[in-house]
Amino acid sequence: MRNWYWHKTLVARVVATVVLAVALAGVAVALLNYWQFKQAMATESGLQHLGRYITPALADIGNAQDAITTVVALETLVNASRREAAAQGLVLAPCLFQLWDANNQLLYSSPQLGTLILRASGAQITQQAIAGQPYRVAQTDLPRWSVRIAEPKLADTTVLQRIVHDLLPALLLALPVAMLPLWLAVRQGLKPLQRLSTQLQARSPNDLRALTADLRYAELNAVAHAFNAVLDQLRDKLQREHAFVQDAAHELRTPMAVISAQAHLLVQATDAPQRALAQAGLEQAIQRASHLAHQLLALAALDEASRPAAQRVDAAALLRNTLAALAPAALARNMDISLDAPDQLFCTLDTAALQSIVQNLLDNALRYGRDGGRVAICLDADHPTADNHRRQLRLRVADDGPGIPHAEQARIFERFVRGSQPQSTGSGLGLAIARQAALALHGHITLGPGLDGQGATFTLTARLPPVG
Amino acid sequence: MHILLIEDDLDLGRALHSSLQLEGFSVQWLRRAADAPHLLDDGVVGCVLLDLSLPDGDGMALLARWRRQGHVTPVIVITARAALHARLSGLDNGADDFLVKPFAIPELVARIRAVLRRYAKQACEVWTIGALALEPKRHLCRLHGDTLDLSPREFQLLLELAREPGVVIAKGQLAQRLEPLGDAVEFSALEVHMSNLRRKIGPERIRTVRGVGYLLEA
Repeated sequence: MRNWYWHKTLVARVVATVVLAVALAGVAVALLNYWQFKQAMATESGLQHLGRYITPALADIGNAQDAITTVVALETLVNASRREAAAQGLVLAPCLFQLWDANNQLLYSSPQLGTLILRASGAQITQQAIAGQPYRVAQTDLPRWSVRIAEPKLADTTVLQRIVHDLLPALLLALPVAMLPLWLAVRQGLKPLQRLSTQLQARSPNDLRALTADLRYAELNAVAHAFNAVLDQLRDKLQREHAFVQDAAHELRTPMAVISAQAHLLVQATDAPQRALAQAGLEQAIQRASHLAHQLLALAALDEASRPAAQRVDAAALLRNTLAALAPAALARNMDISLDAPDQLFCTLDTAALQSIVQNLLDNALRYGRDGGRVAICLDADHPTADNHRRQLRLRVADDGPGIPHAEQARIFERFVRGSQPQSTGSGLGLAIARQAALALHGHITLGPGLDGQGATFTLTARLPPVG
Repeated sequence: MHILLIEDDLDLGRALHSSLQLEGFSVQWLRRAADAPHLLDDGVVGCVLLDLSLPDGDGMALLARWRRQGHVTPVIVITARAALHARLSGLDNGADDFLVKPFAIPELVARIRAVLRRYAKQACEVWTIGALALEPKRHLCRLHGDTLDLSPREFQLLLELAREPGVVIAKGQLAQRLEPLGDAVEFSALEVHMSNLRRKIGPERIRTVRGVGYLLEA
C-alpha cells in the first residue's frame, strides 16, 4: 500500500501532495482566523462596539419613553442582523438589553430576561449565566442613562464551524485551479524523461555512444551527464579489453608456432638423440604456451574490479619461499643472490597481488641476469608510528644484468612489450602484471639503475593499511 | 637451396632452423632487423622468411627497402598479425606469400617450394627445362623420362642453373651458391662437378661462356 502511494507515478505523487498542501493551508488559515477571533474577543468585543453605537443614539434623549424606544429599536436591529446570520448556517441567540436611568431605576428589560437583573461592573465585561447559557455582559454609561447588554457567549465549536463554513468553498475552488497547471507542468516536464527512456530502450547493448537527447532541464541534463560519464568509462574499458583479447590472441600464435615446429621435428626425427632433443623442445614450447596462458589469466584477474579482501601475511616469509623455488635454476648459473629482509614482516594486504609482484620481479631478475651475475633483494617497511596512515612497504630487486636500454624504459611496463635483449623469450606480461598488482596494493613500481652501474633495479612501494 | 630466416623469437627461430635444415635447405637465421643484409644477394638467397614484428624495427620496412632497391628474391612473411589489412599490406609491399602463425612446417616448406618454383618460372613441382625434368622435393632428375644418378652436389648445381635458365650465372656466384654459409667452393672443384654433370645430362645442355660463367639452355 505504501509502495503504491509513494512509487506509483510521479504525477500521482504530485497530485496527492497538492491535495495535502491545500488541506494543510486550509487548516492553517482556519487556525489563524480562530486565533484572530479570540484576540478580537479579548481586546475589542462586539459588546464594546455596540456600546459605542448606543452612546450617540441616547446622548441627546431627555425623557425615559424615548430612551426605551431607542433601546428597543436598537435591540430589534441587532437581533434581526443576528437572525440573518442563521440563514448562513450559524445559529446565534439574540442579545439581551436593559436600560437604567441615573437613579438606578430599571426602565426596560428584554422580555426573555423576565425579572433577571444583568450584573455589570462599568465598562468591564463580566460573565453571567442566563437560563443556563453563558452570557457576556457589558455596561455603557451616559450622564442620564445606563445600558447593559448581554451577548450569548459563542461556543468554540460554533466559531470553528463558522470559520470552516467561510473557508471551505474557497479551498474547494482553489484545489482544482492549483492542480490543473501543476498537473500539466509535471506531465510536460516528464516528457524529456520519457524520451530518454525510449531512447535507452531502443539502444543495442553494444551501443555505448554518449546520449544526445536534449533533456531541457538542468536536473535531467545532470543525470544525462553522469550517465554519459559512466558510458565513457565503460567504452574505454571495453576498448582496453578488446585490445587485450586481440593482443593475447596474437601473443599465443608464436608459442603455438613453436609447438607446431617442434612437433614436426619430433615426427621427422630418425634416431634416439634427435627424438630426445625434439621432445625436450616440444615440452619447452608447451611450457612456454602454458606460462603465457597463466600470465594472461593473472593479468585478467588483476583487472577485475573486486579484489580479494586483504589478508594478514608475513611478507618476508612469502619472499623467502618464492626465492627458494626460483633459486636452484639461478644457482646453477652461478648467480650470486643476496636477500636483505627482516625475520618477519607481518602486514595486511592483497596477498595474491604481492605474490604476483614478488614472483615476476624475481623471475625477471633471475631469468635475464647474466651467468655469474648478482641479484640483490631488499625488503623493508616503516615502523608503526603515530603517523600510521603513511606506512609503506618497499621491495627492491636489483641486478647487474644487461639492464634496459633507455629508449625502452618508458614502455617496459606495457603488456606484451619485451626488451630487445637477445635472450628474451618471456611472455612480455611480467612487468605489466607487476604494475597492475602494485596498483591493487595502492602502490607503484619504479625502474632505476642496477648494481655497480649496470643492470636494473625495480622498486615496489606499497601503502600499508594502518596497524589497528 | 639457401634460405634467410629473420625471426626474433628464440624458440621459434631455433625450431624453424632445425626443421628447414631437415628438409634439405641451408638456413641463415637472423634475429634483428639491424642484422639483416642491407643488400640481398639475389643469387645466393633463394628465399627470405621474414617475421614482421622485430624488436628493433618493422619487418615490413625491411621488405619495402629491398623491393625499392630492386631485389627480386622471393619473400614469405611469417607473422602473428592475422588481420586482412596486415596481409594485404604485406602482399602489396612486395611479399610473395603470407603465412600466419601458427603454421604447420609442411605447409611452410610447400610454400617455400612454390615461390622458388615461380621464381624459376615453372608451373609445377616438376621443373621442366627442355628434355630435363627436375623434382627439387625428391632430389630427382630425369632425362627423356629416364632417372639420372646425380650426386647431391651435381643436383644442387643443376638446380641453381635451373632457377635461372637461359641466364649466364657467374662462376664465383655459382661457387658461393653451392656453399651459401661458408667459403665458396673452389673453382677447380666446381669445374669437376660441372664436368661430371655435363657427362650425365649431355654436354650441349650447359653452355660455358668463357671468362664469365655457365648457362643452362632453356
